[in-house]
Amino acid sequence: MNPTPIFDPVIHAPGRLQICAILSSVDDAEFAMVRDAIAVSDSVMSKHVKQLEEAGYVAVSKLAAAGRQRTWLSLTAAGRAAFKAHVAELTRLAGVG
Amino acid sequence: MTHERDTHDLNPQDALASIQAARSRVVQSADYPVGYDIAYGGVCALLVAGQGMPGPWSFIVLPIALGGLALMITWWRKRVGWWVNGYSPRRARWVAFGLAAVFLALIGLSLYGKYVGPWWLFIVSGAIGWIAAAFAGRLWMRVWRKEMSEEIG
Repeated sequence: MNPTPIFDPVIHAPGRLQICAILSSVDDAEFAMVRDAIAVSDSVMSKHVKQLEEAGYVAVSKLAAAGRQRTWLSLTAAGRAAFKAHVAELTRLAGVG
Repeated sequence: MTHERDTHDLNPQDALASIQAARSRVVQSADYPVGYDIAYGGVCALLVAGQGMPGPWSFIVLPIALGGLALMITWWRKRVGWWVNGYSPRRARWVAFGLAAVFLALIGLSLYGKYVGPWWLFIVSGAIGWIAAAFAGRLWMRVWRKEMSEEIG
C-alpha cells in the first residue's frame, strides 16, 4: 500500500534526510558509520539524532563491544512511516514515480 | 557546507538524489570476503545435517552452529557498522524465504535418513545446505543492492 504523501519538516533537513535514508535501508546502524557516510561532525550528527529522537523517529542504543561503548541507531516504526510518507510527498512534488 | 545546513531549502529532486546517494554509501560498504560465504554455508550445513546425526551429535552441533552464527553477525556489524535482517527488505526477503524452504526440505531429508535410512543422508543434506546457503547469501546481496538502488521510499 502506498503511504499518504506528507511533507515532514523534521525529516526534510539535508542531514536528517540522509540519516533517515540510511536507517530506512537497514535494521540498525552505528552512529560513527552514519556520521561518516553523510560527512558531518560529531556535534552536528548528535544534534540531528537528538531532533529525530525527540520526534520519536529514531531509537538510540548503547552497546559495549571490545571494551568500548558504541552507539547504534535505528528508525522506529513511526520513523519508518514518516520517512515513507515524506518520500512519497517528495516524489509527488518532483513529478516522478 | 551543504551537509551542515539545517534549513528546508532542498528541492524535491535534490532531496530524492541525496536519499539515493546516502543509500549508495551503505550498499558500497557491503563488501565481504568469500570466507564469509563459506562460513555461513558451514553454519547452515551444521543446522540441517545436525538433525540427522546419530547419538549426542545432533544436540552438540546445534549450539555450535548458533554460536557460529552469532559470531558471524558480530563480525559483520563490526566490519560494516550496520545490520539488516535477511527477511526485512521487501524484495530480497524472497531469497531468504526460498532458502528457508530449502532448509526445511533438507532437515526433512536428514530426519528421513536418521529414522528410515540410509544413515548417511545427513551428509548429503549438509553438503547441499552448504552450497545452497553460500549461493543464496550472494544472491540475497545482489537482489538487496538492486533493491536499494531502485527503491527510494
